[in-house]
Amino acid sequence: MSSPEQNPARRDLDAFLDRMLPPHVRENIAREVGRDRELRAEVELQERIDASLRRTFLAPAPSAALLAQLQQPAPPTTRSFRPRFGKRWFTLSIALVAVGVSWGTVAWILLPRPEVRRPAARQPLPLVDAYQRQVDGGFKPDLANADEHSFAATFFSRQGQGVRIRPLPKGSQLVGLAHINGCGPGTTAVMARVGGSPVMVFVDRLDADTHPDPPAACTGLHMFRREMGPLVAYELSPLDKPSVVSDLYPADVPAAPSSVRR
Amino acid sequence: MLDVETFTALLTRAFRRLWLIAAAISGDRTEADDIVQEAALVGLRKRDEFVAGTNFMAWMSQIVRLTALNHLRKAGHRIPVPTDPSVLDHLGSVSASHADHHSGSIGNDGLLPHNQTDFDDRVLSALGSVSDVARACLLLRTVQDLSYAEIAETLQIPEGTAMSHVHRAKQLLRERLKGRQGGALTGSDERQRHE
Repeated sequence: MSSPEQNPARRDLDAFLDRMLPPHVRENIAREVGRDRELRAEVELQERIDASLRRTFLAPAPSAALLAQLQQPAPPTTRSFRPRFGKRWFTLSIALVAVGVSWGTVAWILLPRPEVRRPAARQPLPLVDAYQRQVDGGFKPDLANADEHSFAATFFSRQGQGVRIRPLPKGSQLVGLAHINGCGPGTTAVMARVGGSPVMVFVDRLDADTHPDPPAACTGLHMFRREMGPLVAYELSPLDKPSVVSDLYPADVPAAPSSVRR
Repeated sequence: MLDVETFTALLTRAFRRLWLIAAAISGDRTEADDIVQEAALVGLRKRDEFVAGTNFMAWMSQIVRLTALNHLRKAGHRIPVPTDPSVLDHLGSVSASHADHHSGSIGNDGLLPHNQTDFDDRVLSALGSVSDVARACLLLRTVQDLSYAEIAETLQIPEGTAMSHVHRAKQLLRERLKGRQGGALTGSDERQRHE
């Protein structure tokens, strides 16, 4: 293996991987990478690492629950108090405050109290937000090109019931499956494109159905609900009729293709 | 002073970067959600301390970092790691417990995401031996594609330091993953193994 001093490509590898080099230097190093097996392996490894980081740390958009929480009136912090008048007045005002606090304490104990506002508990992620996150993130599934076995097995392992899908009509394309965090206990979503429009079907156990609110009219989205045995599915779509949910059906997990079987 | 609408609009614009900083420090997606949510509420309460005309992103990222560090302190699993890029090379000896904390990104249901491959596990584990700041630099560069000037402004560090952090963190990850690759597995191979 050549040292960085001997090999300029190795010396500039970090800058090359970081796309920081001017085009002519970049081309030279790209040629060197094409020739040198070790360098190529290093570049491929870095590309895999970058892809892994992008996949793992896909940043979400702020949830509707957080935005709603921010809109609730919250007083800004008060500045520190400094007495600016004489010591006598200061002592008197402290005494008055002490009396006030004592009366307040008595009143607090004796009088019925209004309900204390607690910080909002973590709410389930609205389906519209989950849909929007996927669309914003490029509508990339966690499991693309799933064969019948892995499609059904994903639902079986997450919802305890296999699910299969009939071939979609012309103009519709199955994109893949996504694991959605925060909507329910391990929601699995089917992603498809129908006439180019992104459509998602969120599947959960029927006994964990959160009965989500339909999307607001301003989102331009429609929601369709369907129960499938022990499962419930919600299709979220910009189209005004369901196009994927009706093609899903509960089924046993088919045998794995021979290349997957151990 | 910022009004609530302006604060919300600025926060929405900055959200993804702030989330990545939280994820970089905590090493956990779900915890990052909680951290940014808490930091947003702190920022809202303290919005009268924000000086108009200054960098909202830098101000909020400071709040996110403090909130994230508080989270870790409360959870009691923070160990000090060097932040000077020149000592990152020697981090191989960082205790396994810290690396273990970052060895999986667990969802609300307590399960690993279905799409998390073995390779992703190893990347997360290796990432645990990089300092908080270096992780933040790396993620902002790789995931958000920020320029070094933007990273420097966000994290309030010199541009050269940000670059140094990214390059050394990448080298460290490659070093740690090189020996553990176990041959040239392709993504589909890994998925099949997973299933």
